[in-house]
Amino acid sequence: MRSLVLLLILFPSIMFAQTFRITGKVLDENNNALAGANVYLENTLAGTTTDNNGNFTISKIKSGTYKLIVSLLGYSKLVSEIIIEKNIANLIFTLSETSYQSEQIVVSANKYQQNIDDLPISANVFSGDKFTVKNIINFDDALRQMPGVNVTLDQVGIRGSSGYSRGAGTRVLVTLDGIPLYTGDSGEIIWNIIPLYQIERIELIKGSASSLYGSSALGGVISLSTKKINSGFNGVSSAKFGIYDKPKFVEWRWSNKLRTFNNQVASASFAANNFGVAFSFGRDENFSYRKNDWDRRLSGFIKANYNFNENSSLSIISTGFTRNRATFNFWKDLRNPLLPLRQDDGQHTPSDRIVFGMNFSHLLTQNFSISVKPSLFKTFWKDESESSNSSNSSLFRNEILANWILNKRTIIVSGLENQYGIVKSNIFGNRELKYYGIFSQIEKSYSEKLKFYFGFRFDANKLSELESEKSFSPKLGLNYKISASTIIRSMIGKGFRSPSLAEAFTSTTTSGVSVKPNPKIKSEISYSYEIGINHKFTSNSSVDLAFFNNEFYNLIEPKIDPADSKVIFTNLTRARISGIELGLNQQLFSTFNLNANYTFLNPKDLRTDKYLKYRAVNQFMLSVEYSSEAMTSGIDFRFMSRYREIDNEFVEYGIVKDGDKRVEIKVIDLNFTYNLLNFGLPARLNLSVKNLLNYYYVEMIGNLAPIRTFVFGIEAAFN
Amino acid sequence: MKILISILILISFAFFSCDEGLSPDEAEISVGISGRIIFKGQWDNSIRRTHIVMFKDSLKSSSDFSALNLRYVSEEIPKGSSEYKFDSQENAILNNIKPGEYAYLAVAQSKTFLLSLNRSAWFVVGIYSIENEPTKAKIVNILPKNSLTNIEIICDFDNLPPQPPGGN
Repeated sequence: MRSLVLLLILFPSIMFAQTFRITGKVLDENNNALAGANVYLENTLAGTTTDNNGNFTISKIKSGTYKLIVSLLGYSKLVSEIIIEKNIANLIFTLSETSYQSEQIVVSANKYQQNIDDLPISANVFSGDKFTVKNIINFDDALRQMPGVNVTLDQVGIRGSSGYSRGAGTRVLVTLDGIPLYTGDSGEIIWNIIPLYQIERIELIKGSASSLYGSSALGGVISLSTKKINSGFNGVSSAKFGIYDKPKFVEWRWSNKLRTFNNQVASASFAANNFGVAFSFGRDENFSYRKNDWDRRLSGFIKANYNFNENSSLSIISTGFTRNRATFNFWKDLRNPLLPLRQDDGQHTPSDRIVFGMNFSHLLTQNFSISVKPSLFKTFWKDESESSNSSNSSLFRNEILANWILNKRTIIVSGLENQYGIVKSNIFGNRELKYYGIFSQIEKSYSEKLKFYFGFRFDANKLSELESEKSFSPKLGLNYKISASTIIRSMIGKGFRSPSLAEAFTSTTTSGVSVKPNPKIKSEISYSYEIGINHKFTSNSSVDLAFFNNEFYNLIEPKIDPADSKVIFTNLTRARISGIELGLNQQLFSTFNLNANYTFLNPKDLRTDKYLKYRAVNQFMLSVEYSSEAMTSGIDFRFMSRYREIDNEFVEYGIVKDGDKRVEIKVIDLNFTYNLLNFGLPARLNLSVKNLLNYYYVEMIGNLAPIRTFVFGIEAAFN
Repeated sequence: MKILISILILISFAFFSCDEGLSPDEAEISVGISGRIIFKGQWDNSIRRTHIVMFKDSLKSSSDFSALNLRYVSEEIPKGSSEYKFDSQENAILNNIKPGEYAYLAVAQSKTFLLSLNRSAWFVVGIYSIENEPTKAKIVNILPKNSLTNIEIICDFDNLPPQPPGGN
């Protein structure tokens, strides 16, 4: 509040300049209203999206001449010059359909909305619907289909930033409507808390983003946006049913029953006047293809918006679940890969997780906005095994963010963040964490073609009795449009990540694996750069090439201490992850869409000259999709070369029998969607075959990945 | 058309590059030890843990009581047992048994709940010994593709075997 008053004193013109309003409607070529279209004035914060009837209102506009831009995925962007010297009503904009969508893709990687083509770093954008039609239930399965992303069991790295750290810490920050989703105790991402059905858009930001997002964003950011609440009542129900195929090898078959899973979700939203609310309830039951690997979950999501007026709004969001999951840490051996270790059999872990967040936004002028985002992540789990591990944690967080368009060429984003976490656990101890960050970034355009980005962030953190640490993370970025079809981008910066409480204080034994604390653990830092080029051959064809290099100091990785065979998280003095990423997008006859992506990594521990664990050197993805009015079908292929390094000690000490048995990953998925609207039914059917060729592989030693699975899904809408 | 053909070639490549991946034939042939433990005498009330342990090299100093030397730790033997049958392939907390010779197989007890590698926390109540020489440890010899069965260790609480160095 004090900073707001200070700003008003410093910039009195913010309050007293005369302002105007424009209203209008966005239609398609058949005069149908287009909902969700972005309508905004270039180089200002004045903008909105159209409602269900295609209507929009933008207010608090100072007199002047502006470029008004109307855009929507799947339609060509419309730019028109507009002179505002009085209120303007009843504007009509007509958008025409286009098959190529890159130009309209808007991202919020820099904490404000901008065109993806203006970014200094690599980014990909996906719609949430892309994955729900593929019958994907858990978000980490969606990540497996994203270019440059590696998933090891439930831990995610971007361009090799992470291998496998037993659920402790993350180098990829995941946010839901701007609210971070890592826990206060282990610092891990809980993927099941993400309501995939409510996700409108997924932004994948590659490379260190610590200068804007702080710790945990060392390897990149996955930013999730929930669906907008449309006016009136809207309801969607869905059900999925899946069957695991029998293993090809008779000696692996352990159950005479069909192994199945099912999922049901009911969602509804309602909006009228200034208020909107959306909620969903989900139920999941997975009997698994492995013994003692069952999983039961009840989940809920709620989001409510209230617009005080055209310039102020409050959004409240909460998502959570209660879950009971059996324990399957490692297989018995490769002759019995679907059976757990004897000591895990019959063990299970109940857990409850809930996130609660708010976002209050206020547009002071068309050029200045401020938002406040407090949140709480509460988590409880208890291991119902001999170890009886349990943890109860609360992580409070708040961010104050200011966006200021100084002039037509300069945009400033600044903010403050603080966190306080408290943990009561017999595995991490009774701990608390404190974290503060201040950041600012300037985007400066020198011409229509050239943009520079300069940003910095200062962070300070204190983990219980560990020494407090401070970090200064600057970055410099560039985006240069060589021509209308070719863009060069580059970024150089410093990143950092403070250790999670789990990495510093874990002390436990489960499944024969003991973990011990490391009170001397330090924050890891990275110096990274990236150079990328994007070229559009035609409006239907593009290629993207990026070179990247990350120099790590004090990289935190788990290792086994030979003195007592216990796992300990330690700082590797020096590590380097460099590589190349090549992406290709091609559309044919507006019905076929092909995406191919190749990532080469050179992830090295520079002390030993060995590869870092659980990082694949070569990763290739191919996705071909066919769409017509009534149906969509697609095939996805992903390849990852065999890990060069794993936890060899686990094999040498006999903890995981046959743990060194691993192969490259080669998986083909098929999906088919049929829209029943042609029969007058607002519903669609989804059929998927995952791991079509029943290929057997591991992502993590001693854990056979899911075998061939058939999934049938149905979704129906009620309005 | 060229692009369509390229797509088909890529998909074909994806299909035909896939074999079956991992198979049970790649599993190492497991070897192990099995047999029974016989307990004689009264169990001490203060005992908290009892395990069968096997070391690769003989325990000449407390530093030999280490994770690097340890090859097998059974699951916990229930307190008060008079006889306990074991099979390293069925009940093990740690099982790193491969063909070869192992110098020391014993039954050890601890008075603490914690399963630790602190030598002073443990004492030995029975060893796999040479016939008629119950104080001398017998080498466990496991041949390739053959488990060693019918092992018998007698734990006489009133007549404990010699303790390895480093204990209390």
